[in-house]
Amino acid sequence: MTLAELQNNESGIITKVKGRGAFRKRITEMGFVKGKTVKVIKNAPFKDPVEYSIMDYEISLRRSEAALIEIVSPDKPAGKEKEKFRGVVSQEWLKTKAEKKGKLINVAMVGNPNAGKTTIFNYATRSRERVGNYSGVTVDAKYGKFSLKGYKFNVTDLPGTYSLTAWSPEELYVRNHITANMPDVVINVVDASNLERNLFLTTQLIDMDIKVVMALNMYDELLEAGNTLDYESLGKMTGIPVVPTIGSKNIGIIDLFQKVIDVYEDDDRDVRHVHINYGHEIEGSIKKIQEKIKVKENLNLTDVISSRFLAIKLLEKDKDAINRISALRNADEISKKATDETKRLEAALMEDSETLVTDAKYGFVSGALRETMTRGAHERHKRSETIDSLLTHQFMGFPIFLLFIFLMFQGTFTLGAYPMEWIERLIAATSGFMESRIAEGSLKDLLINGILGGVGGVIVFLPNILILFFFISLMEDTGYMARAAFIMDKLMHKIGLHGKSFIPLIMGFGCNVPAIMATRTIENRDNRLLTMLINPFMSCSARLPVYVLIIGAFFPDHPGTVLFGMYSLGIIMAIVAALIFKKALFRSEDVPFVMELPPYRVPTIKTTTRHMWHKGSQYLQKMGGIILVASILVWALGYYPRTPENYEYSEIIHPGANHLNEQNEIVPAGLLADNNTPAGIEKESEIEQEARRQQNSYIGRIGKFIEPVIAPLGFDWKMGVALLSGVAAKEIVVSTMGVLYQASPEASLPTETLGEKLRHQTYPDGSRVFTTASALSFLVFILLYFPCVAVIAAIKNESGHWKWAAFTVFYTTGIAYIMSFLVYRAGILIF
Amino acid sequence: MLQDIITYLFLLYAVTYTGYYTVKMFIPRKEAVKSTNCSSCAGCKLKGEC
Repeated sequence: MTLAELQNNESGIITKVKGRGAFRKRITEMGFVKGKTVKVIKNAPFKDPVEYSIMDYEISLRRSEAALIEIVSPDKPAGKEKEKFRGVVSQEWLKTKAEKKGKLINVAMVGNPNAGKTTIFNYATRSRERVGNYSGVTVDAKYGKFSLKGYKFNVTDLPGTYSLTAWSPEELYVRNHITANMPDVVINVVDASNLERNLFLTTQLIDMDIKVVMALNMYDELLEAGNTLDYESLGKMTGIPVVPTIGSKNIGIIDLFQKVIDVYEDDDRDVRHVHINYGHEIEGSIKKIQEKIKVKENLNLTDVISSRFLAIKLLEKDKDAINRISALRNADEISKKATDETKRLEAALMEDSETLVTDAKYGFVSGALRETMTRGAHERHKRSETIDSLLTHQFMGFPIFLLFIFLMFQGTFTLGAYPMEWIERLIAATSGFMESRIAEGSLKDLLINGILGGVGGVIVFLPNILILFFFISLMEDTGYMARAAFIMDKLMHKIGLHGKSFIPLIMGFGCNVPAIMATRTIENRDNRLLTMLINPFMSCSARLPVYVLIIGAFFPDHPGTVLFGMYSLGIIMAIVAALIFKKALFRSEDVPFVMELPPYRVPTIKTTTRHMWHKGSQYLQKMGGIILVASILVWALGYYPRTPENYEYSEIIHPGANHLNEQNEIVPAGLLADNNTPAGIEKESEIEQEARRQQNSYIGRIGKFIEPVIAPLGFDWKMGVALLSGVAAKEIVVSTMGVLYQASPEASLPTETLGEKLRHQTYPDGSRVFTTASALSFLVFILLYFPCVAVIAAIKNESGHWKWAAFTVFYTTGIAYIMSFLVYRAGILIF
Repeated sequence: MLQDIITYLFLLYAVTYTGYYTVKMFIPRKEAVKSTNCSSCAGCKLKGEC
């Protein structure tokens, strides 16, 4: 709770003083320091200001100032303590509690994209957030907790940002987090291999006048390049203590948080507020605007945000700063002064005011580095440049990219085939074991045909998923994925998108949901929406099991090529859709943005396997959750209702069993009507019986209902049902096929794999259900139709409108239908 | 009989799971509700809420 919440005569012990430099200094000088007892004497009329007693003398504070002082109070126990505590609060207990609470440090991590914030965050908090060697991996704040040396840390990992202007949502998000949540200490993670650009953000943190510790991350790369940096001097120069770290190897992270403790406790000598010198002209303007902001009635704002920072931002014509100022009483006066000063500066220095401020900041950075850094031979950059000359070559770049992708898919198939076979054998053996040990009945059917057929049918693809993610992780961690974005940049521009849109599209190969969330990094609203709309065409990993199943069964000679073709078709469809949408729906101009090329890095086994395992565990969680549930439901819809026709089939297996008549009444064995006698039943083959049973089930009826619609695409009713179930998640298509074809009459051998069962499927006239044409048509439909419900919900959340979600449902399914129809018809003519 | 009871329990689990997660998907998460506050909203420009 805060001091502002105390009533007359209530008291509390101070645990923390928030707010920025100047305010903190003033308030602590008054005696408001950690561990001191403070008592409310009285409230002034209108409850502001409030008179307090501290260290035997009276001081009055404004309510807004008191709200920045955290306390614990015996008069106002909070939360659970309020309900549980029945005794008398002793001063000793209160002091212990105040001390404990004072040791809770809120930390925010800020830095450029790809500076390694999330890696440090993961090591510190033992989290497993996603990391990658390209920018924009963190698109939302992540929270974690841990303890060190008696202190508790609440750490927030903020999205990567190059500056704190109100230019893009993530920049605004980071800035607002710092001003609204007021973290006790900000860790500025800086990429040591790219200091000049990274320190630009640091200059803005300096202007904000907050407590900062700098993590000089990837310090080993700086040394490897032959550079040396006197980081202690850099810390003294900037007023920000610097700790070298190597996030990927967990080096320096404890020292970093030890430094955070020192800064939090005001025990570090390097900490001081530095004013970056913007030159005589700009400093004059800053001072004049600052004078207008720094009046008594604006203290509510300036206690939280530095008036100097606001003045600089106003000179930069920053929209968020203009907004904040507009709420002040003398807003007109301030904005007039800011406009006048901006015009004066621009006229005097013949340059845009924003450029002037930026130039001055870079001047500060380069000055600081000139004094503290000795540059070596730039070995690593040279190495990166040499590799880049080949991988991003004007003509060679694109074929090399395609070759890598092709090898990835071929590897997914060939390497995955062995473990896949082992798992298939294990499932077949389990199925055989259950068949022989469990008595006939609904539970046996559920376990074998429902759960083993469904979940077992999907789990065999786990190795393929792991291998695909191993390759993707390698490409990300080495830095090649960022090159892929660079290679695609020109193509993306041609379809009206920016290369930056390529990252969410690539992420879509994993899962479309985080990919749609990653579109937040795109500044332009139209580009963001466009990227969201075409993202479902990127083949997510959930579609991979369907591809592997169908391709393995019907295209065993060229699996890699067909899989590569499916992914390529997805990309081509996305390009075509983007071209059409850009012309029809989104006609705005593109916003320029710098494409980043991080240096090549050797990925660590730990990061790569962690990434791979993270994906694998998500897949396994799905097995126990949605896929298990869907398998049970699909099985139930196929097993019920148990009508007389269905019991006729039981008669073949158990001639002595009772029966149901047409009114669903039990009829003892031997009392059947003439046409239902065992002799009559035997006339029909077992296959026909089973086929009839499936068709009479609920799922059969649904399938038969939609069959006329899907028949032109070459699908039978079971494929139709599988596609319907895939609306929940694409893996369910495989589990549903597992359940339906497992129980099908043609599945004579229990040891047959699902692929073999599909190959043996026939229509009643004896013709094959799956031909090359229908298999291809099915693959195309799977690729293009309705993305899963989670993706639709993500589009709704990110776009803010149901209309875009609904649009995605209809246009993707419409395109899928048309394309599948064309593929099937063309396939019939060719094959 | 016992087999049928266990089967029905499985079915009950599946139906409850489906119902729970379907409803949950369309209920805004706590953070999402908070995000209408501009200070913690990353996608405000897009949503047009702020």
